[in-house]
Amino acid sequence: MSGYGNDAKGSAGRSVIAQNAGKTCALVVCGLLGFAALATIAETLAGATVIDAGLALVGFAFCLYAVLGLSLRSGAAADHLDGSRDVPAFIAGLGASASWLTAGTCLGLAGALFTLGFDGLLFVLGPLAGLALGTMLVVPFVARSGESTLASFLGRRFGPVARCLAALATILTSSLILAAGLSAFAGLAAPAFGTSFASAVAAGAALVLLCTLPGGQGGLAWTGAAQGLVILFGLMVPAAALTLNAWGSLLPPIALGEGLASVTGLETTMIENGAATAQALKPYTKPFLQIDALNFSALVASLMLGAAVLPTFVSWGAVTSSAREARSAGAWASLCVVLALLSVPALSVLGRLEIYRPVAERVALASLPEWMVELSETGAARFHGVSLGLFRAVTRAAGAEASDATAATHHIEARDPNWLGAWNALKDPVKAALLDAGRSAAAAAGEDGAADREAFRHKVLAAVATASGNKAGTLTYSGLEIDGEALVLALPANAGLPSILSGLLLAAALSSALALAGAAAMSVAISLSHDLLPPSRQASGRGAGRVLALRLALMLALAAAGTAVTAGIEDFTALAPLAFSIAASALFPAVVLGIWCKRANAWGAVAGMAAGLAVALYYAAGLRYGPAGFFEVWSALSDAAPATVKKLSQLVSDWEAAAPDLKAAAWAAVEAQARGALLDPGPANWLGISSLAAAVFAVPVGLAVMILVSLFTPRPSAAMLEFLDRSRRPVRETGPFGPTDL
Amino acid sequence: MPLWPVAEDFQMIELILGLLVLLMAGVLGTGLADGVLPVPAPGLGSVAALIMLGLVLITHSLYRHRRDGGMSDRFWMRTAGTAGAMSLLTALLALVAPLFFAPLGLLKIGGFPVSYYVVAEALPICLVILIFHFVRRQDDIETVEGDRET
Repeated sequence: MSGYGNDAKGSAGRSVIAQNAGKTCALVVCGLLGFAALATIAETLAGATVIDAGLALVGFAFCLYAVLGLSLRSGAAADHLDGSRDVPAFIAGLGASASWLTAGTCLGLAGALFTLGFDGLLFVLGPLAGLALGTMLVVPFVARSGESTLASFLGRRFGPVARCLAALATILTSSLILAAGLSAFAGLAAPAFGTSFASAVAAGAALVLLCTLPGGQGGLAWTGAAQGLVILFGLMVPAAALTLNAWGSLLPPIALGEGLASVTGLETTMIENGAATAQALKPYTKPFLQIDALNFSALVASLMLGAAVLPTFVSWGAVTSSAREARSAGAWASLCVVLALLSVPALSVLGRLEIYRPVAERVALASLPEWMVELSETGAARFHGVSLGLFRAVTRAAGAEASDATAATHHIEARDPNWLGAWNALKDPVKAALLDAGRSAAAAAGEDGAADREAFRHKVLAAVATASGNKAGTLTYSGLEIDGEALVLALPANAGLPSILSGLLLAAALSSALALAGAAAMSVAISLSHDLLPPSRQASGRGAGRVLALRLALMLALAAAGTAVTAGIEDFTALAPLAFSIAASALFPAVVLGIWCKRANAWGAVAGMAAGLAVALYYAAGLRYGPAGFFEVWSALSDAAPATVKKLSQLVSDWEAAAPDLKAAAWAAVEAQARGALLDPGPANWLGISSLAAAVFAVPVGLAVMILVSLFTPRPSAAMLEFLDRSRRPVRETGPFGPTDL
Repeated sequence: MPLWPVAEDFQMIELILGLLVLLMAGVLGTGLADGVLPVPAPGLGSVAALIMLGLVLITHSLYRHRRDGGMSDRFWMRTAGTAGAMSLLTALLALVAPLFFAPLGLLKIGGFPVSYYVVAEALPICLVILIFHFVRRQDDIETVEGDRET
């Protein structure tokens, strides 16, 4: 057992809230809707420039989480570790759904569906199927065992080495998820509130601390439930309003049919009038255009297996009072997830329509819709790679007398590093045209923002289009890039609906990122402060000391993740599926066989976990950090076409022949060619599988190793089988104070 | 302790082999391995033969289990049966159903593209129904069989 049950009582505030779960939920919903109404009235009376109802609503939601988090403060270690196991199933399910509807499956999903079309649906199916598998195969048994984390369960079942390995895997996956959550939060909050990315990361980390530090896992369960409610309303209400406005239906899933028909019609029009080519246009409803069937299935399998044993998910079952409650929590979570997810495809279809209409009408670049220019201010919309924000950065460089593209690069690197990536991605003729336009704008000193915008619309875009080969100067499909999340947030304003709806969408997206980051931070903290300690130390420490250790670990985890995100060492949001893959590889064989196979023993579990983790890390790191070397070793298993291999060989020859000062650039080109894209790997691969789906290799290896090693080593002891039996069976009433699992 | 699988371990080995053969049949049958196989893709007959082999291995493994008294624990057998069947259905809905519906991309009913609609809306709803059904079934098993255990 966790050993945390009797060391201190929970706080009075927590008990009051726990006893009034229904009233608390109703209060959150009424507060949110009431504030939304008040903010809208205030905005109407005072004007949108004085009060932005949407942002005020987001601020209100943050205050709500902070107040709830602080009111749930507790000094009891049991509250911090597993919420004293008195969280009702519905609340735990709502909290689980909040962390489930991550930025990756909330607005991010609308963005993914917008970009990937049919293929983006894998991000719906995989995690949802994983939630089902976890509810059926894992969570109730871990909850019944009395252990609060997967690592402690595996420690009881397979010993200290397995516990440490599981704790390390938990820290690895949860840190990746924590960084993804903070990155998604900052990516949305920074442009919305007009702050820097680093400040937004710090604000996100502070909010996560407010939700988790005072009450631990117990506090997180309740704030997570509040976040779940905000996400549900924040997705369903705007989606219903938008579909009502667009197609006259309050039900997004029904209205979706009409939207899809419009999308298909506009796609045909765009090809017919030459605004898009059949090769460039990826029809929205056509499957496997951007991710092939093999990778689609591999990614669904990887997400499914990872989600089933994701430590952040299993911990939601551990806060309930019994296995039955843990199962119910899983069911409620799936219902909340699907209620929210049914709105998402409609949002992404509306986004596509917003883009397709002006493209199909062949709108001149000088007459772009205002919302597109608005989005390009933050770089969320780009025309032939150029945005208004980038134009301003280049104008500043030209004003500082940057004579050519190289000088401009140095200036942008020093003064506007955020725009360096966009600048470097431009082709040379486009850079030259943009620099010329920047010089003209810099020469016309004293121009205000509106004039700047007009110059961009009328002069810059025309010059850039000509440099890119777009002689007609009209909006084309291939010349337009828009970030899905920003587009979805702009939908209500584009449709002429109140800004409060954008606020609701933003609140939902930010809440999901916060819930995800909170759950992940808690998992890392518990692993660091509890799971890595030997059981004797876990049980012997004083309550206050254990709470302090957990809080310090929590701050450490957030500080490390925040620093990594701010430093921009990786695109953590894109890497989030890798966390699922690593969790599946390291934990799935040990957890599932540990519960369902009596013959599985400690030797097998340790070998299986190590083998699974090693294969997953080798494949993912090999493809990311050393793809050329990986291809050299494993070319026999690659599915690369002969033409691709030939191109890679040519690049290698170029690198060999390159002058010493050009070697680094030539090698970068070799690596980029060998690596390919995240969802569409280059020649460096095994059977064409993406590195994000490394689990499809690692899980079978882990299972095979665990089974073989278990069969060739001694059977588990009688005491171990008794523990397993206790985890499998419902406990009957044994007396007035006995366990009552049923 | 023998450092070699004893007779009772062969039931598990047989079960795992059966599941692996079924998995192989699934991968070959859905055409997922077509691009990566060094040989021409097997026909329907070979896939059917693999399915039969897998089912025979699993059935024989269950027969061994029953013969050795492994099914005397009625509660656990019902729990494992329910979880196994529901997990299999979940995997089918998430992994096989999208591949099955994808070729229907061009089929439209009332203007709605069938494949997209099924994968985006119907499959997630089916998964939720499946989870609620599982929860109710397992609760019933624990209520009925849990009483008998004690």
